[in-house]
Amino acid sequence: MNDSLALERRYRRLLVWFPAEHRREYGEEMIGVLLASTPQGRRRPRLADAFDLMTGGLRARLSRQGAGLGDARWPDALAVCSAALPVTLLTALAVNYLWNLLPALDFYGVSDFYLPALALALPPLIALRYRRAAAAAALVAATWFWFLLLRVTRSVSSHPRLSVALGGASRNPYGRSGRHGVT
Amino acid sequence: MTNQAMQEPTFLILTALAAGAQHGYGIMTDVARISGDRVRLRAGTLYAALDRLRGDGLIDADREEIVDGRLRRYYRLTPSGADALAAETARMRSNAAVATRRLRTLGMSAS
Repeated sequence: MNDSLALERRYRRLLVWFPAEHRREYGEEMIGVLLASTPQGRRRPRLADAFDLMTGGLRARLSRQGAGLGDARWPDALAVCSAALPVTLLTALAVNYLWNLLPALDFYGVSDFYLPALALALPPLIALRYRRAAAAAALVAATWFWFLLLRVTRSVSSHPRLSVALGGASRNPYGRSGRHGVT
Repeated sequence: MTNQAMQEPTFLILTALAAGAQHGYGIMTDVARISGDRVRLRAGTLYAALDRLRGDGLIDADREEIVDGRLRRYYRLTPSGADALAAETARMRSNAAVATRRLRTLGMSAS
């Protein structure tokens, strides 16, 4: 296949991050600019360009949330959900990794809860723009949340500090009142 | 117009259009030239900014051309866009003047 055609097809796929309105208004122009600014012979968009289209598209969607809540559309909503979830996951994993590199910040496995917290924060953000998709997104996030929660509780026993903290409390739940009783 | 400082990409886009109407790719290369290659706008950022600036009435679509089968739309600065650019330039100049004076008392120069 022709290089520039393959490149154009990939750019068009990335433009899905933008609201349909924005695509109708600027889509063709953007394709022209993207192709003009990409070195000859490339078949794939540069990572920085791809990232820029994603963030630019999400920003355009969020900035329009007040403009038209009524025109919620499933294809757009699904595009955002299916893309936002892996991005969130990768971000959370990166944060988790950094957290492990900086032991000073690692208190009681707080990073284990970062992921579900993000998963819960995402649907309301999407719901601002897509009311009809919000229910589906919340369902996905909730499933994810419980899946992770189960994993975290299972790994508590193998997490030294967290198990000490929880284990200490549960092993001797009446420690304080017991001492009070003696004095 | 608010009193808040203009974002640098916005300032550079308006500066690019102060030279006359330009199309998207032209704005992109001009912004890189003005900023000495320090600010490189990518398409996603550029068109999010153009859409916002059009919404705020600072720029407007000028004319359209078809080059090699591709749409090229030119954008131009509106009178209120020129006002905003002038106000921002004055603000930056006055801040820079104070900074330059104070640096001089430290025996330094802003080069």
